[in-house]
Amino acid sequence: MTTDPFETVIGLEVHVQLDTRTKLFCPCRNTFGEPPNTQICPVCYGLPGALPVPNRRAVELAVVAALALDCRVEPESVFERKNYFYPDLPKGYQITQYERPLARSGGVRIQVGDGPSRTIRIHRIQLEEDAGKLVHDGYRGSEEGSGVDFNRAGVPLIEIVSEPDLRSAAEAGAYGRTLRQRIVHAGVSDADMEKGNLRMDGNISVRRRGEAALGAKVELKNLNSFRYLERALTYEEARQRELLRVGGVVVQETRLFDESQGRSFAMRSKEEAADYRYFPDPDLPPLRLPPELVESARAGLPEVPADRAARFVRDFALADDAARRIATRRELADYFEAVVAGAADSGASAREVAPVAASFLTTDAVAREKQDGGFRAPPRSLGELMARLADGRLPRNAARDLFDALADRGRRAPPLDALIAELGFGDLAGAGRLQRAAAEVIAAHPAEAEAYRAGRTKVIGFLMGRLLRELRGKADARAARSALERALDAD
Amino acid sequence: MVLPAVERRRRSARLREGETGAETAVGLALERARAARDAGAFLHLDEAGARDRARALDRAPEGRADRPLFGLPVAVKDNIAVRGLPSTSGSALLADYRAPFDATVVSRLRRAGAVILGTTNLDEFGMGSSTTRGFRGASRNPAAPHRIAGGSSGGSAAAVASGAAFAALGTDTGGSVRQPAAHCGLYGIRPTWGRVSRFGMTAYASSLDQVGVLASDPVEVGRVLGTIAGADPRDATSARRPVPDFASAASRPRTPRRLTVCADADLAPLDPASRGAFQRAVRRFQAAGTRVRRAPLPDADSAVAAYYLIACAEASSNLSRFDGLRYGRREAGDGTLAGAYRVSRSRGFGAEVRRRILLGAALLSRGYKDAVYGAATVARRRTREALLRLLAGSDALLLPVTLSPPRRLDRPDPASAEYRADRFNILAALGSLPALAIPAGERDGLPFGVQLMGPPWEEGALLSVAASVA
Ligand SMILES: [Zn+2]
Repeated sequence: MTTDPFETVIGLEVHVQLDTRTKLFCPCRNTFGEPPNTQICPVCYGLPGALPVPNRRAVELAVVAALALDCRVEPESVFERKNYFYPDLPKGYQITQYERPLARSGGVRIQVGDGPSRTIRIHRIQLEEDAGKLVHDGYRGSEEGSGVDFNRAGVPLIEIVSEPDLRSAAEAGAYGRTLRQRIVHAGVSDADMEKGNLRMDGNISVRRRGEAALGAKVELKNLNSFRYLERALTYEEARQRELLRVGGVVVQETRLFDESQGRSFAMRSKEEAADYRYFPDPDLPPLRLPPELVESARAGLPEVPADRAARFVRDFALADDAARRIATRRELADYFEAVVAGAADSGASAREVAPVAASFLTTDAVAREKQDGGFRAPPRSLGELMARLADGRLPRNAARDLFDALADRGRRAPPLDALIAELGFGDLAGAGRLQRAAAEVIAAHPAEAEAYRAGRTKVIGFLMGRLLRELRGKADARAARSALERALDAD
Repeated sequence: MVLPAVERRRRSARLREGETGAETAVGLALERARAARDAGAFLHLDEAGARDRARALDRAPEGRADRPLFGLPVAVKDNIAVRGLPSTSGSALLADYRAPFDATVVSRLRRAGAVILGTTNLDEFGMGSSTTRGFRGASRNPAAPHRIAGGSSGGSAAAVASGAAFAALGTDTGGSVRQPAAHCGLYGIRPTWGRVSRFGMTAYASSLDQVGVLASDPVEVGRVLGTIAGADPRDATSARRPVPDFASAASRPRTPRRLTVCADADLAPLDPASRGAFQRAVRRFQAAGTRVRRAPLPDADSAVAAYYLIACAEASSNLSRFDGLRYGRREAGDGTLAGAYRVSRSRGFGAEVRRRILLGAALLSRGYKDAVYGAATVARRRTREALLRLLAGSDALLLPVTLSPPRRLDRPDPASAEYRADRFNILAALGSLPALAIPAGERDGLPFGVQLMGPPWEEGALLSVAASVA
């Protein structure tokens, strides 16, 4: 096996729009897809005399993101102006952070395929405003020149800057995906890449293995999907390696990857690199984050999915894969826990109800969730319902119907008992009819019951037949069987 | 033409006491305002709007108690947004721009019952101390029409001195309220930075800019300042502090126990007549029982340099928004984007503004930022500390405002001389301290003023001291 003489070094800068109601420094709405220039005001349009006022919610979300990425939140950070001219930048400067960012020194663990998991360090996170957007067609006068839509100008962003810890395009992809997952899970952003909620730039250099200094780095701009990121970095890595292999020199520059041609092009060299003339924004006092604010954000931080799955296995006796399936979706996991809590409140055992609820939510409730865009059945009532399903007081078909009724009526749904009576499931659900029927069948057939207890478990088929006939088919087989087993074991 | 101070104060007092109504007061002001406009004080006079507003106020006199500035005719410097009126900041680039909103100070004035007469002349974006550098020409000094009114709030000073406004708003970045007040024989206050909202003021150098008030007596200054001061949710740098009753402070004269005269040794930069006038002002305090000590100016030359470096650095960024793309004068240039920027900005801005932008941008560039801008920041902090030390031993500092009488309009100073002449005025700005220019007689038959500088948030104390020698 020959060792690779070169080593690739990659760092990513990831921009994430924060999911706030309003923009970072003005009361305009932070929305997507509105008609151009309808979400603007003197502040984000850069009129003379307008001043920025920081949005508290944006600051809180940035802190949550920083904590979710294991960063240290700085007690004091400073907004600075990054000065340059471009039509999408209404003030002629972007308000961002430079020398004193909001957070530093974090990291996430990534894994590529079955390889070992590695920690990728995060250098810093800064809070900043987005720019507007050039639009080239689809409006009156678009033949004569480009227009600018300022709806996006001033939308809050965090920029997450990694250390140059990534060693391949695949690692960069894994890092990006992990970051996205954390961000979404923390409730900080939808990180919808189609909408430009999450955008990436990459820095890549290649050096001889064993060398400490980094090679000349190339910056790749606007890597706006993970697939595109990996392709662009793969191409650039190969380009640099080939250059070095034949004794060439990599020029430090900014390049743009063209996917249709499968290659990258130089945008500007280091000499042309802009000088942004950063200085602290005199319109904004230093951003002070008292420890209480950081701690309360930390307390509100959702559990990491892996930890939550482990807890589901431990406390709720879920199977590993079921636990993982639920825990990775925060909204589902929250709802699941509320349902189990509702069941426990009604006197049932959480460990018995939870597996039933887990299976119900990931199978029967899925279509409904899609239709409603979430879970509308009151979790308390659904908890009670799951308890009855688990102990066999309700057949699964009936549970499905009742769940639909609960979801239809949402918060206005009556108590479960009333709903059961209303829908005519009363004779099934009422006072444990299934158990009574099972007990009656056993009492009527003492010999078979005795045989079962002696170990000839096959006779349960006979008893089942009797029981189902007794119930005239209004119970499902699984529920009937478990009621029967429970009654036999209890005797 | 100047309206004698006695008459101006009488008009103010009669309106205040309710002896005249809003329409009468506004009518008296407007009678003088047209001439003042022709003398360059106003850039835009809203006669019809002012008369309508005055009539409406008089029709509901029962609201008088809730309107502390009932009927007060006020002029507003043209770099402060007045909804619907042109707001040019004295720049050709903004010749056709109208403000779509009121500055916070303007909406507070309106709510208090003041009547906005129009907007006043200035040096372009407040960069200057002569009010000759606006795109619409100079504002003449009402006391001496062939001389400057001072600046950059020269139009506001001229409007008040000529009786065309009972009070005016100015902005003071490094003396722009106090210097024209002194040249026109008025009271002019620069409040503590953060005391008054800057929302709606076109920024020149944000960390130095403050909206200030010019008027003919301390009480009027106190009333207007009390109205416009206080925290503003639209300005993150406005201070969340209670606003004292400045008007009653101004009507309680208090002779200071100790004053520190803070000037270069033997007042060297002042011309002989001004030196004599300043010494007369000092003796007046001494005669009233004030103990006066002398202290050298804290490193004035490096303070002036630090002031200009910081002001230009911030200006280079603040004025970037004027690119001609979204509003303001737009030139196509050679058809490229860079060309459009270059031509719109180089034709739109005057020479002094271009000079300061270029200087500021250079200062913030790689290789200069740490050495120059960084050093200026340090010098600024030292100046503030030195001033606070001086203030610890006295009630206020007493300083000159100007080095010489207002110059003739036909004898322009080189910019460098103007920078040097700011040496006493930039101190309060660098130190974020309040300072009040007060009239102190005449020299060579022209108005002369001195300034009092106080500890942070002590505008009321300065007004009480001013009242003691009024
Ligand atoms: Zn806005």
